[in-house]
Amino acid sequence: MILKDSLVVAQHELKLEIRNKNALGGLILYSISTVFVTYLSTEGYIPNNLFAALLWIILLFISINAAGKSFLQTNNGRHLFYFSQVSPQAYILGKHLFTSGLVLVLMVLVSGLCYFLFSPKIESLIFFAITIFLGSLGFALTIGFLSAVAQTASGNFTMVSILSFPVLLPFFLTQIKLLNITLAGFNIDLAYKYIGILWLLNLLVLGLSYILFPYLWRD
Amino acid sequence: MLALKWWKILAIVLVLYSIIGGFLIDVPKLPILHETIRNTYFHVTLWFAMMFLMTISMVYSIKHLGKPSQQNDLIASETANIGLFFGILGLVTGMIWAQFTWGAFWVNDVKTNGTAITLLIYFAYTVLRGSVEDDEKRGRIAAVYNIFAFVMLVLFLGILPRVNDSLHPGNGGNPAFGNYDMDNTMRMVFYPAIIGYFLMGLWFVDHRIRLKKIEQKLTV
Repeated sequence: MILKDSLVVAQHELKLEIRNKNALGGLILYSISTVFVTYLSTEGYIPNNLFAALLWIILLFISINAAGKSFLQTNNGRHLFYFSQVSPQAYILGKHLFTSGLVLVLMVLVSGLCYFLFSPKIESLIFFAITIFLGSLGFALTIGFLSAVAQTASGNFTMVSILSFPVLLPFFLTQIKLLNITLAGFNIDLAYKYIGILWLLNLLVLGLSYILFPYLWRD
Repeated sequence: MLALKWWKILAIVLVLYSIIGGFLIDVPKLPILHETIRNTYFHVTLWFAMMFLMTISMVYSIKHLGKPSQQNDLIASETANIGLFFGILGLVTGMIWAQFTWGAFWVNDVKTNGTAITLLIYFAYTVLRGSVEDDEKRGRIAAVYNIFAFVMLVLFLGILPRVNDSLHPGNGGNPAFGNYDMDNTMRMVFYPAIIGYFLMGLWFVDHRIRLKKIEQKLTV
């Protein structure tokens, strides 16, 4: 029941996003221009460890922009509509599904672009892809949930960044470490360790938002 | 009116003991550390007290979500505030210690950065509280953020230093104080100091809560 409802919510959100092409196009343009500005300002020659850091900083800001507005955009009328139709758990799961999809698409786009522009020497492409996938999941879940907090609190966008930057740091540092491993000195044991930590963090954020969201919902 | 409860007297006695004993009692002579090892009594104990206070804050946040009451919310927010205060003191003492042992006020160390992030999270918590007008709503939202942030913080402070190397004792092959460096006389000051600062923190919290209640009475 909950899963079915959450799929409906995600579908609904997707429909709304596609209908509003300006916002989606704006996000994509924002991502591309951010990468291009970074490319021009570094002239394309950067060492590997700097590449990992830069990539994650770019991805962080893009996902804040993409996932941060997931709740802020939802106006009160639509909130009330969802409130009458589905359970809060289904609602947050649906939102999570949609935002992680959106962030994943943007992240794949951005990291692909970075890959072509900066052409870093990647030792293990599969692990690079896994890093991007787990990273986008973690960013989307955390920022999505905290944007719900910010929305109930004050509804302004600055609050999302204030709340999520410090909380995102465990993800951020683990991802940078993992990306550094895939770039140079690939070590499969170490990579599995970091992937394990990332899964743990993701599951924890998912569980916490599942438990805590109903309390935000009551308005 | 001297309504001193026993634990308040205990707090004064223990903190005084830790300050006087901490500066006067003999400590093991170790290379690099030398006399700065006395900072264990302040830096480490303040940190322990902060973590206790933050844990209490989280527990009361959970209680508040289960059964919303103004008392629970006040305790949660004030323990976080006092914990933040202790955290700043712990950071400052740690920075002074780092200057004399590692050679710089700020080194890129996992635990040092963890401290900075702890402070950022709880500053964000106070900003969040400040941004909501309605009392009932503020308590609820702040409790949700507090629980979420605390779990992430525990993960950050607990897991990452074990994954990465740290200059701090007990990590990345460095021996912990507890195992090698701290002898029994040091422990005799160290453990009472933790209890003392923790009780002192509770006392501060008690005062802040009473102050808040009086403020509320005056404004109504």
